[in-house]
Amino acid sequence: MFKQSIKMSFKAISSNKARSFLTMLGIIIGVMSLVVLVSLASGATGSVNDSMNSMGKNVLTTTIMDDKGNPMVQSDIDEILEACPAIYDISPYLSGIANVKNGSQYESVSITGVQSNYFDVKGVELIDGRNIIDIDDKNGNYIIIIDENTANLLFNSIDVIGNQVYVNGYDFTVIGLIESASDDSYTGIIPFNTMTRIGLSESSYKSFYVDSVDQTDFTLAKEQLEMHLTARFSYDDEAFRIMDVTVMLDAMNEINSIMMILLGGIASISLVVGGIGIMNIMLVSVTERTKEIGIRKAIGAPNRSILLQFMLEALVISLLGGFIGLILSFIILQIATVLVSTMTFTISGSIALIAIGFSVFVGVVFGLYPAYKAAKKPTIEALRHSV
Amino acid sequence: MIKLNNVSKIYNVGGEVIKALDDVTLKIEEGEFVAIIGPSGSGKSTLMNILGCLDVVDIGKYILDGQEIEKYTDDQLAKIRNRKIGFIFQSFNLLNKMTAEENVGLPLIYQGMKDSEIKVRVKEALEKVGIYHRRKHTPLELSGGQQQRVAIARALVSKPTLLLADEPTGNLDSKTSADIMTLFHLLNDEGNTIVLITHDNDVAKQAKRQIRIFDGRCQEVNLNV
Ligand SMILES: Nc1ncnc2c1ncn2[C@@H]1O[C@H](COP(=O)(O)OP(=O)(O)OP(=O)(O)O)[C@@H](O)[C@H]1O
Ligand SMILES: [Mg+2]
Repeated sequence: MFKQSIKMSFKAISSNKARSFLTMLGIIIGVMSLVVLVSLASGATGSVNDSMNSMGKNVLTTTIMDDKGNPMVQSDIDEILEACPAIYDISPYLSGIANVKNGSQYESVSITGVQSNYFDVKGVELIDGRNIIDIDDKNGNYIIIIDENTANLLFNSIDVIGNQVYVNGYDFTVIGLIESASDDSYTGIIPFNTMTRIGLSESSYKSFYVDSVDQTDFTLAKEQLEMHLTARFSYDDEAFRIMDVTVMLDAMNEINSIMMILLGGIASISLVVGGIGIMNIMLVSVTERTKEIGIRKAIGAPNRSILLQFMLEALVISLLGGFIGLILSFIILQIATVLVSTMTFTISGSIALIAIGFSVFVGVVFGLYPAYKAAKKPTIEALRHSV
Repeated sequence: MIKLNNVSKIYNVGGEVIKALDDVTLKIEEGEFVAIIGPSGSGKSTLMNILGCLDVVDIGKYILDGQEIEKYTDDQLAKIRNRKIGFIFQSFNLLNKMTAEENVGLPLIYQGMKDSEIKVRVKEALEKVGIYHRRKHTPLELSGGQQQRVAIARALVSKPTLLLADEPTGNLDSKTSADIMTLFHLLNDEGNTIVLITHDNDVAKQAKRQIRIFDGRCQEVNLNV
């Protein structure tokens, strides 16, 4: 009987194609907005996370904004390390942009001047070559670690160890190769003192990467550092800035998930509106088919089979609408991925399931009342109905 | 088989009380061919609805095959209609979106019968009324007489004990009516109990027994006079 009821509901739906499609459209649009909006939001979250992850392991990026005429020196760093047990290590760095050249190939590369502990603190791993060591920094050697993008641009190869490049006209030897952070980033790493030697930056302890003993939680390290630096700079907590990437990341993810819930909520409303459309059409259909209901009951249809018939009709419409909506969402997200080249948008299995589940829910909830109305029609009155 | 004991059916329309059936007592045995005749508004359809378990009595008792009908729920009544009663209506009451064979098979679907078995039974019923060759047609593609044959096939398909026909020839011309009446005689000869409702004396005369109804009151017609 169930099989027969399914057949009958498909027949009823296909016998009034235009109306069924328009009813379905409400569900199609509802499912589409739900899936597309939520997928776009989660795609954005994903790409934020990706770019954050590509920055390597977490560190506290600390910048001195105003040294109150009393700049930091190496002994300050030693003091911090002593005063803040939660801090594992501190790596000062300098940054600048230099013209890096090999033959006729050149590129503006962002250069970071670092000390030997940089690689440990930032968790940077070389693909090839060696790290900068203390002696390189002490002597201000003309050596450089470049990233893959720069290597490919200058040498058309990543086999570059031992090659010479010109950095702002100075002759440097390539000693190492690192991964590129993104497709369009060009970076180089040179010793801290070399940076000042070639005049790329003045020698100053203004920027630091700070690593925490506890690798999962930087809060304590940040607290201790804040306290120490506030005291160091005449109790002005505006004199420096400490950035914790994970905190930013968490904040961003929170905003994104709030957005996802908001968008999902709005989309759900359109699904509910679609459901009301189904209910409306089913009520019309029940009225139109009063005679049919009467005939069926007269020849022995029990109430539950009438109920089932109309329920299934609502369910088939909403499920079909759900699937069509899902397919269209997939197409739209593919197009969005092509248009926004830096992000990929995919439908997660869970949102697809939620969308289909929601369609079923809408079909059942909004199909129930009309179906119940149909089933409860008194046989004799339904039979007497003119159409 | 059928027993009506002091049955009344009362409608209350806008404060006015209409006794559609007024203290009707009636007995119909298995294998009978009974015509119920009366003018318009006399209560014929009301009687048929009660006999067919489509409606329930207000006063009195209806006993079908020894079972008191008032005691049953909607779904139990549906089951009784499905197994024991075959309906034939003046306006055929076929489902226009279905083919003849689908219409005829419908009562069996509600019995939960297997497809293969339904097919055999439908063919048998359609052949009996001589309309098997038009089984793929929908009612709108058939003439009135053909539609009524399909409706009769639908009434026969579940092998009911009682055939109830409410003005089955009311919408047909005299030639087609005669054909349908011949079919009823044949079915009665095969042992079917038939209750035929009509306001046409010529049709009523063909039955073995006539009951006249007037203002909701029944009276046996003595055919020997
Ligand atoms: N649902 C109803 N509500 C109120 N009155 C009704 C209802 N059904 C029938 N009646 C009344 O009951 C009486 C008998 O009606 P019924 O339909 O049984 O007549 P009938 O003999 O079948 O007439 P016809 O030959 O015109 O079909 C009529 O007066 C009718 O108005
Ligand atoms: Mg009538």
